[in-house]
Amino acid sequence: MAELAVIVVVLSSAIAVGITGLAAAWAEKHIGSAAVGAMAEKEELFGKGLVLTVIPETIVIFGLTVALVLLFVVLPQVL
Amino acid sequence: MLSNERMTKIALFGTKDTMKDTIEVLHSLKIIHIVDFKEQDETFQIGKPLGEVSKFSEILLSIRSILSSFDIRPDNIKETYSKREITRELELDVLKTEKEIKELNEKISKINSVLVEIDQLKSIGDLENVGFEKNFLKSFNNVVTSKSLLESQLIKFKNRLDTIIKEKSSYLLQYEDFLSSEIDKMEAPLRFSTTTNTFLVEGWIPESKFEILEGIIKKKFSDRVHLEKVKYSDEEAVPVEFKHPAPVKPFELLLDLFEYPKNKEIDPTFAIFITFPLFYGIMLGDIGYGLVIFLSSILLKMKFKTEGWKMLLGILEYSSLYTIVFGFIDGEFFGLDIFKLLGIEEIFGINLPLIDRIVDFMPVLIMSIIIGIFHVLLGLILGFINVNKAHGLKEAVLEKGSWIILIFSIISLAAGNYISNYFIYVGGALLLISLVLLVIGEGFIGLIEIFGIMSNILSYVRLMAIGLSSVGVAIVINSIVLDIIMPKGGIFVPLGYIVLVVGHIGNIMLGILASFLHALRLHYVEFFTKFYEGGGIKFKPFGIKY
Repeated sequence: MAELAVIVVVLSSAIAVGITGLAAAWAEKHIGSAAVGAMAEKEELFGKGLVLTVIPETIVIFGLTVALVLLFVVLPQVL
Repeated sequence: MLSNERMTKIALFGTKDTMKDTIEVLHSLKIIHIVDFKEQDETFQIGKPLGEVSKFSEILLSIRSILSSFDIRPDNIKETYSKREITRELELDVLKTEKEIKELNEKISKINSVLVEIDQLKSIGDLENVGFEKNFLKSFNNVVTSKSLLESQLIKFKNRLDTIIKEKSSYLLQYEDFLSSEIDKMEAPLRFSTTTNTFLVEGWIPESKFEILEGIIKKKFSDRVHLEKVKYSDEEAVPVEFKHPAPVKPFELLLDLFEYPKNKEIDPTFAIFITFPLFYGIMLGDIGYGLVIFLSSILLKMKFKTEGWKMLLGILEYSSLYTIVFGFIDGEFFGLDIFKLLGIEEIFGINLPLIDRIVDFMPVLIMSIIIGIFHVLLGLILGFINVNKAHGLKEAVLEKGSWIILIFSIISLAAGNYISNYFIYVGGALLLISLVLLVIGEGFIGLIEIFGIMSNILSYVRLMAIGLSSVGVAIVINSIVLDIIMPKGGIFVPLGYIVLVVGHIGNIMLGILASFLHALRLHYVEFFTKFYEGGGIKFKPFGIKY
């Protein structure tokens, strides 16, 4: 049983980072292209565009945190 | 101490015959921010430019095209000319230079195209078989023999062009400067409102400079130009001129990228000055990387002299100092454990390094969230002060006070878990009060916003996460090189060095960008939304080039 639990925990952490990474990338793609479009019209928007583009990175940071908690807090309890 | 320059609105009016002199005075003083006149009606019209602006603009345009195509920069100016000298001597000279450069350029490009054509014809090979007539071939051969002559001609023209550029570059730069300010002056009436015989200028001036302006106007025009202070409403956008000490100054850039503070709003530059480099340092935290960034920003400062670059590099300089400090706390030097390498395991009975970011990520995570709570709290307190100033105490308590109490309740609930149960009761009571205030202040929708503030605080987890990823990459580079490539010996040793250098340079670039953007984001999204409105304008005095 313990082995199955380890597999589940490790896979979960992998999914947590992987999927959130994809999600952040997908969101940033849309924002990034819109930001570049806006900058073509008005160059002063560079700063705002840059900051808006990194906003979805929060998703993957949360994912990373969840994965780390799974690996370093949950996993030792399962073992 | 931290209040910005106080501005006062002024109106300046006089008869039209004094307009030119008035513009001259305002332009040389460089203290008045002119508000453009927009609403025209039958009596008040936008003024007409003085003199032939279009002719000057044309000259300016061609000078600028020369300057940019030959990459002449202001640091090439060696001699300076007084203004009068420039006006009289240079105008003709500039036109002549411009014409000469144009002609030389044309000649060079013509010769170039002839040379290309000759080469093309030659590349066909046997021209007689293609069907060219004999006469043509004879003359073509003559052309080919004179090719070297053409080439030497080309070199001569190019040299001539170079000497002209070298000789005249300071001339041209000075003249560009002079012309653009001259055009500024000529076009100034377009920003005034005028009637048939009078003109009126509206603008902002630092309060401390008002008397200076008044004295000068009185002395120069006696009563033909009149100056007075004008009342203004709170809604009007007052230009902002910061009065920050030198270390804080670069951080104005971060407001420039966002928005300037409105009149009477708290100026957050000082808060940014304290927290921005701190966050940056926590995220990057490496002695080696910090040193690299510090040295390169000092070097780049010598190269890039524009205001924006200076500010950006100034920010990086301060941030890299924090990076070095946190590098000592984390014991990292290009991803290596420096204390272990040096053999220092402890100082004064404290184990070194203080924090190992890989192993102790849980404490760092909790510390990040605590920093987040305090940063958001600081934002809310500033918001409380802002709202109190603008709308009174009641509004401030309902709008921001409820959130402040909510945060305190979270703190004491958390403390209850660790210190004593007593805190749980206090926390519960505070939570209740804050929820009631929230519902009164913002309705039941306010309750949904609790999740917003939670995610704001959790967002500070990135202080841990970004640092972890940067140190992770550094460790991977080191172990690839030291454990896999280097032990093979022979040709792999130089390869190992290449991987090491390229890898760390890449990681530093990523680290600079990621730490900068995320520290910025924490300020713009998490911090500013708690108190900052923005929408102010920058103080741009008439007479200074932007």
